[in-house]
Amino acid sequence: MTPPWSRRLQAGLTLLACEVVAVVAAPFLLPDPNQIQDPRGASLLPPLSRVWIVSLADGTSWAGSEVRRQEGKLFVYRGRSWEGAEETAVVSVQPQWYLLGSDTLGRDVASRLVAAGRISLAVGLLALGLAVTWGTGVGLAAGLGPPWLDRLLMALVDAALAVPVLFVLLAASAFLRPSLATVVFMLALFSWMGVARLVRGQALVAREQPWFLAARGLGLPPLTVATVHLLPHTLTPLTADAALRLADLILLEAALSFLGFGVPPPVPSWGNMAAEGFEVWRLAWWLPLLPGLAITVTVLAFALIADGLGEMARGDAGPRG
Amino acid sequence: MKVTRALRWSLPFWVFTVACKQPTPPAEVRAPGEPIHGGQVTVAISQDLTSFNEYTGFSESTELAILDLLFPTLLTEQPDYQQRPPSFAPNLAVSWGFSEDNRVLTFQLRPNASWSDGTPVTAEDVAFTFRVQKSPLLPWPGQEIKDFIQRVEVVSPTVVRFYFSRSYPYQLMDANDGHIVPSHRWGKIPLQAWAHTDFSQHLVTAGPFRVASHVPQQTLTLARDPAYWDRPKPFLDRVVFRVIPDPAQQVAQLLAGQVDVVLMVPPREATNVRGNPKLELVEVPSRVWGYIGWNNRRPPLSDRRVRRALTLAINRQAIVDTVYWGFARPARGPIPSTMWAANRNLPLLPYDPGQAAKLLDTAGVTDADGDGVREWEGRKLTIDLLYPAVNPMRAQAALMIQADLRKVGIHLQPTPMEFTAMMARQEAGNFDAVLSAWEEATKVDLTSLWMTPSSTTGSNNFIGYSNPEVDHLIVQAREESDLDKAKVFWDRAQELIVEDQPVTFLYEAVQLVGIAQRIKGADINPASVFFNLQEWYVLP
Repeated sequence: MTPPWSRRLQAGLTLLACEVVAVVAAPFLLPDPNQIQDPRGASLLPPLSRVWIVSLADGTSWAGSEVRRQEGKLFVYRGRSWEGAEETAVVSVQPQWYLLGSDTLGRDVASRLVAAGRISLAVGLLALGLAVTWGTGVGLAAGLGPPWLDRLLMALVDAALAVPVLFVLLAASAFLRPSLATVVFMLALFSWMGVARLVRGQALVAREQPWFLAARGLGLPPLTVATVHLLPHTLTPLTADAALRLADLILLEAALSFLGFGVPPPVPSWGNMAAEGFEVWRLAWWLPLLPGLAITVTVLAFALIADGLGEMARGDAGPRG
Repeated sequence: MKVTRALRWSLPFWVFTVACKQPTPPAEVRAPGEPIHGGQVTVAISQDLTSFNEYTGFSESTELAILDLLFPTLLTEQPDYQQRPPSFAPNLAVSWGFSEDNRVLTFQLRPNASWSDGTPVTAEDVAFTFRVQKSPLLPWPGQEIKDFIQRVEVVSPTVVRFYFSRSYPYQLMDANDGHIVPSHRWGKIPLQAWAHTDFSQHLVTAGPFRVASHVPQQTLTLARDPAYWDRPKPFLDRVVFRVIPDPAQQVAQLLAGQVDVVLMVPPREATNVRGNPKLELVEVPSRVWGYIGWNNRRPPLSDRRVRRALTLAINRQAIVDTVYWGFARPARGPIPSTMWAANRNLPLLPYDPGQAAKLLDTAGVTDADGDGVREWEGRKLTIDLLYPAVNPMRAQAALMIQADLRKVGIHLQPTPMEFTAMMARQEAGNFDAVLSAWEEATKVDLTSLWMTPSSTTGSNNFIGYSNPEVDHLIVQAREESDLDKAKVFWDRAQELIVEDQPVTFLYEAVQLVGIAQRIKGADINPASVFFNLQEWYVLP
């Protein structure tokens, strides 16, 4: 018997696993993502650049693409000009590689990208989890409950959709401090409504089906009917929806930071890296491109997983021969 | 911070030569040969005009510069305030003079000026405008400028007199402030109704250009006014203002030849503009300076030793180099160095983390538990630095400040905020520090920012700075009509403010204007980018 794994599911899980390994393991190998390195010499370096970091006795450090020793002085090509320091004032000269280039403040993009991955995946998944939980709960209650409950809950969803996100956030910003928890909560607060409508729709279709009527007719308690019998039927559209929603959430986090509600600086996220990168895309194409790619790969992984789950649920999964 | 109305009055006709590897393009671009009529120039603006009537609300400096092309002022302020208070050239008024006691100022108006409907511009319009400016029914932010003008008298259609309650150095400037509006048309609309009147429906203008069409939030097209008094100017047939909110998009369109003028090129885009053979990058010194405002009411920031230590610990030159790409200079004190009243002997506080650490120790902000973060009264000290979230340059500067302060054991948290929410916290005094900028008026006055705030007068001193000696010096300087004597008071006040470091002075900005080479005759100066738009022409 072949395992009930679809190829898509395997591919998606593999991609996701690679990402998770990278964001968990890489921080041990890469420099501090928030280390500002002499922006004059080390800003906007393209991928695979190397600079020399010259630490001086006064605690400052210079970055330069070339270093030369001459007449007791150390000359560093710092940005666009040579600058000299007395040999005696130099503490150390060390090379530093920028695998994926540097940003405007001379920070290492590779280490920021993986550090951001942890934040973005965590924020995205947690917010998604919250939104799906609330949305499913409300959707099931509305779809299976009495008509008055349906009307009430759907009115609530409509009202929530009508609330202008911007104004709520502005009002909230007066008394809430930006933190990861607030970001997750805010993101979930503004994205559960779509899930609720979707699940309610599925429930309305299901309650006319013979298997549903049979389950009810057997006298099963409503909660069992909802969770054990109905919920699996909503999985296909729900997972497809969730995969796409995840990308939205990752990008929305960046939009929140424009309102002062994103992750607090200097913590990187793919969203805020992309947003910062767009400011300088003409000078440094890799800055918006790399976080954009990271988001794309993540969404692709989730879409594959969603597809795979769908195939399995429909029973047409796997290489059956 | 609130921007005062006098802001757009402007800077010296003077070009930066520092920090430029390449020769700086001359501020005045003149082609050989005579100017010719015809052609069109497109200017990118970041937001549409809010109203054609500046007295119905707050207009920012670009809006006022556009209104300059449509409505006359008595005089034209010259960009020569580097050596003395700015001088004036004739505009609607051809000559003027003071009485013996300096309390009465008489203007002789141009007889041949007319509104776009053919009605002459007369002394009656000037008097009407003054009544509008003084009206408590209108929210014009420049009202206090007219405080010492008691009344305006119409002597004849071309002679008008201003009566002052006292004599002081800026009488001419104050009389001149604000555009003259048409009494024969706008006088028929009751002032109560002005706030909700659409003045584009009552548009009568008198300037080098008149409005040809206006598509809100898209374009404002001005066409040459054939009745303009200073013939044969203007030379251009049309000036189109196109609304493009995003600065990067403005530059992209400038590079693509879709627009001819970008008023504020972001410093990071400067090399792109400079490298384009069809464009020119003009550096205009502005009166904008950036700062970190510390909450002077909140311990330990209320201790000037602490504020001084914070300044010493911040590498301001690095911020200028990185965030502003060298298109700025470290600021020394409260009056920009481009202005006559600036104290040129002020020391530039060095970047000295070692001394900063010692100062913090003596002020009692110490790291007793050895975790690398200093405490104040037994609790870990955290300073929240607020800044508007939409400004990427502030965001970068905030990160550099955070990194610098971490080296002396101060924990500073950059906190981006939505602009109005930030203003509300500023006003309420509910903040530790803000990263902000201020544009100084051409009229030197330290009152609004540095005088101890009183409950009776408006103040922008939201940081709560208070030094009785500075208060006294400002009052003395304002009342002194001898400029040399006033300068002594201004100089001393600046020294005291720098000693107290109520704010950390970060940088003095430079405005970068991108302009197409095909435009000739443009004198882009600190007074206004459109200072002599009526003399611009384009080669066919």
